Amino acid sequence: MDWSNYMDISLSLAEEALEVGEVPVGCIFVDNDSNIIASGRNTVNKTKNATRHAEINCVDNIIKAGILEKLSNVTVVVTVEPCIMCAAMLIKIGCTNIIYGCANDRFGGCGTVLAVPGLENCKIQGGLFADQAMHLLKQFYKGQNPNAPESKVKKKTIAP
Amino acid sequence: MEPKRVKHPLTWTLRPVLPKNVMADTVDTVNVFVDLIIDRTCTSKIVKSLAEPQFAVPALSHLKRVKGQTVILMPAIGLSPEQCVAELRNKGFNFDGLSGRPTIVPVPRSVPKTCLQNQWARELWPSNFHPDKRLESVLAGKYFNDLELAAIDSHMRTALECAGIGDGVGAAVVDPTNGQIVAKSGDLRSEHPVKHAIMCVVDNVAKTQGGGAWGPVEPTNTSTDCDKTGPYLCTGYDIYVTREPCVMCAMALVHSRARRVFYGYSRPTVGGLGGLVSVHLLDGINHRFEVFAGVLEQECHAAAETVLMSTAGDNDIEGLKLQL
Repeated sequence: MDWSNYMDISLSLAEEALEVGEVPVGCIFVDNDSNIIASGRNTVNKTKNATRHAEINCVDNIIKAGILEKLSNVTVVVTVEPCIMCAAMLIKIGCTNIIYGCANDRFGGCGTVLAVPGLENCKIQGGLFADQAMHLLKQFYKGQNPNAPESKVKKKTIAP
Repeated sequence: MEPKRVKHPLTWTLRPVLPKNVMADTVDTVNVFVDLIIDRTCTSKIVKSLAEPQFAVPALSHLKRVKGQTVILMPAIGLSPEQCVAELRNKGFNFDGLSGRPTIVPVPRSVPKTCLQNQWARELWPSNFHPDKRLESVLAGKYFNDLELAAIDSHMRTALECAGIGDGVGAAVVDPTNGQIVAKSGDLRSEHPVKHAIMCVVDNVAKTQGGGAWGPVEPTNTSTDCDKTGPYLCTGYDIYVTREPCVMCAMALVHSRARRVFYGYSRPTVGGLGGLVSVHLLDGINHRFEVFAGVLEQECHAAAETVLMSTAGDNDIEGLKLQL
């Protein structure tokens, strides 16, 4: 199956995150009949909660919509490789298929930093529109995270 | 006045959750050629000569070159003693003062991590070992004094109280600078698959900082330019949770920049901090914290069991025990 159109939607969610100063990651959950049942993006800065990743926000939306039973067998289309936390969460909810854009060098839970045990039973495909996803991340990290405390903000070093 | 506080002896033992190579109780070895120094006046000349670049063995730089009257010549990989002598002579080594009849002995493959490992390793061959004082006090159970242990006990009791709400797991976040509870939570996974106690308590911390995502209070302060000198996520905070967090929750604590994690009982098949995986020890993670297990272990286990038994039918109980 070609997931390009779905990834386009996730990418636009990531763009929306970037516009409001959030780490640009977007995600949608798709059911067996190819219907989008949830969409979400990163809201870590707004919520001051470092666990508010796009995938977790999607699960919240499903709970809010009262369609918990749809969570199993879901396909997750996300712009960046799910982190270890989200990969473990996706296994828990019974996700069967993960499509992601670029790898997550710092936290990747689908093999980059750790292959979270349990993923063996999940189909994983990375690299769909990876460049676009990475480009958005680079745009974000080019600027400083506006919510980081001053003591943690790296001072720009002056070239000698 | 009589002192009001009666000191209760602690009923539990703290277990630091450390890397495997720190806890290893065997010495991994590698074989080397050694030779006997028969003329001791030549020792310094031999050692000096072996220090030259062509005789250096970078993989064994953690070892002393000489032990008593034996000296390490080279790794013993696929060579006979005669070939060893020939190869060294070819490279310009002078066997004066040595027996010239090398033998093969096992030596420690890597530098010991602890004093205990060093004791075992020394029996084979001495290393350039420098004890890590902090690690040694952690291993000896002397890292926390009685007052600190009593505080750990008390904070876990706060987490235990929360275990009664929801699904038998409780968590508390503590500011160690003043001993105050910043946030606490029970476990609500039966109503929401992500609402594990840790995920809830991290959100409750966010609420104290004007954020948060899960009700009842909607986030009131969503401005991005509020006080930047205030607390940031769980930076500097200690986390108490009645059982070993799963992989999701363990990583949530990395994202949240927790300072230390104390948990009750271990979960070898699903745990994320020493059980199934050790998220806090992974290479490449951008934040690290210390993990200690075993705090009020029995009480924590009993709390989880009580809740499960009260909600389960008789037939489910054996299955549920496995989930614990």
